Amino acid sequence: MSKIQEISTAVETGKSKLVPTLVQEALAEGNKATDILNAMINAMGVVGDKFSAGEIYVPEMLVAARAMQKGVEVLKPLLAGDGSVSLGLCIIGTVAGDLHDIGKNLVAIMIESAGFEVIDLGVDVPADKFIETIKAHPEVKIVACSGLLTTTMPAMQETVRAIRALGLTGFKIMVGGAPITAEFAAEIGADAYTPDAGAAAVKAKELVS
Amino acid sequence: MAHLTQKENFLRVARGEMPEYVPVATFGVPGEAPLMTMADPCILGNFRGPQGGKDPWGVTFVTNAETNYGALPKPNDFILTDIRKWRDVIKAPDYSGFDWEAAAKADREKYVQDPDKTAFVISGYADLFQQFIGFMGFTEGLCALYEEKEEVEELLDYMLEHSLYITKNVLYYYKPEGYYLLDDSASKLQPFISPALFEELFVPRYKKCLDLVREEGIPIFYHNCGRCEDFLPAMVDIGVNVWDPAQVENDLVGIKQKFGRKLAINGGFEYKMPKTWPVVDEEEVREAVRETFRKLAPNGGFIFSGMMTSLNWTDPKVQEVNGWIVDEAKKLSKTVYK
Repeated sequence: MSKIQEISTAVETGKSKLVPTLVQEALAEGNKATDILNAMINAMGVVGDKFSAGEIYVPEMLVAARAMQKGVEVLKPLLAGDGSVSLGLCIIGTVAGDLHDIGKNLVAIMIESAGFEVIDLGVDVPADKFIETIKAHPEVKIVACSGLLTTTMPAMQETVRAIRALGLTGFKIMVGGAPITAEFAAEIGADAYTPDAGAAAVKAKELVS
Repeated sequence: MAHLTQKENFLRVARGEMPEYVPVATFGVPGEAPLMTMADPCILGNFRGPQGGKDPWGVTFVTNAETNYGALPKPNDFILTDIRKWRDVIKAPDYSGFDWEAAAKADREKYVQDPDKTAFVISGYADLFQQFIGFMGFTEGLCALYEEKEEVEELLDYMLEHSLYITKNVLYYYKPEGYYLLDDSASKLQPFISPALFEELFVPRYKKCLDLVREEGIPIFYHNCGRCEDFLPAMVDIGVNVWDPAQVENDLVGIKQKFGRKLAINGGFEYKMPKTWPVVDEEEVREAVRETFRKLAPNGGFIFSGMMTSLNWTDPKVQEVNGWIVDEAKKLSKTVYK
């Protein structure tokens, strides 16, 4: 098994302690940092697919993402200034009135693991806060709104409407959460809906490709 | 022929016996006595109430209007950030001097307005998963379950002593008609953890509490939202009799076929807010109720419970729709076993 394959396997199985050493070894063997990063991103893609298929559960996905982060820390000095390795910026938050964070956190972790930079605005985020952050980061590629409660679906609608009213382009809006459907997403003017965190990462990549 | 009271009929289902009619939960319907209390003993405080507060272990709970004042641990304010340090951080509550006898009397008076209608079902606070996640949050907590299993097990054993203390005293002083185990551990799509991990870490510890309950011959009610059906076989094995809210994400017909009356389904219905809202077809709502009865009522083991999927219960239209649901369910409940 090549070192790159070993890294992929270690990420997929969440071996946080092992990954930094393997990344160091891969670099020492002459592998490029970007190749190692892409291998880890692909490994997380496999993890996301398995999660979407119900083959693995949240902890397995979290520890895989954590393992990847350990590897990224080793690569960071080598990747600094290399804008080509990022898929762009994603701004994410749970909409106003909603205090639930697990779904939003999982999506943030998976989108980051897919190669995006992520600004996480937290929970109970008013539309104004999304807008302020979008204006401060005009390079944003994805805006992701999460909501768990039926009672905060109107807040999601209001957030999407307010963002659209800005008239800014260059980014896509994704929505998700337990009560959200593809139909609702289309109705409120979002660009995409995904049912789970693995699918969200896949969709985010599609939207910026 | 003498008919059973609402409570007697309900407890028949909980014991796996055939009821006279399908019990119908009537949450929030004015003038209707609930089938059962789903209450914490007052020793735990009222952190789950509309004002939030701290639970007995020191976890802060918050509420807001959007959750209809249902409490949840305050985001990003976790008392345990490193599982390896739990012995320094997590301290069991000190209940010295607590008057259990007076508490039992007061709680029964508070929660049971009509003892012929409402079963006194009380929590023994064996909600180990929720409590553990309350300490650490989902991200760190779920990672710890996977990465530091031995530390987690020792913490769970420490927490279990508290659950056993509450359970023993609830059984002795409260003399409940049902024991409530409320431990949400699933999302809409999947359980948060694998069934294997659940059965390894949680089921044996729940069992220690439930063994005490079974010795007293008291029905055990298990609450787990979302798609948690993969956890049910192990929970039935350790004595769970009734599962709520039995949400429609689960294969309810398959569960009914598998367990029969051994596991009563308390739930089974939801009516999603239609696209045409606030215009709602009453006949469509009533037919949805009838369909649920057709699938889940035969041969007992079913308690109808469910409403429109909205937390905005004060909205007059929501109340009207929920009124249709309860009305149709009550009509059917009396005829379906005739």
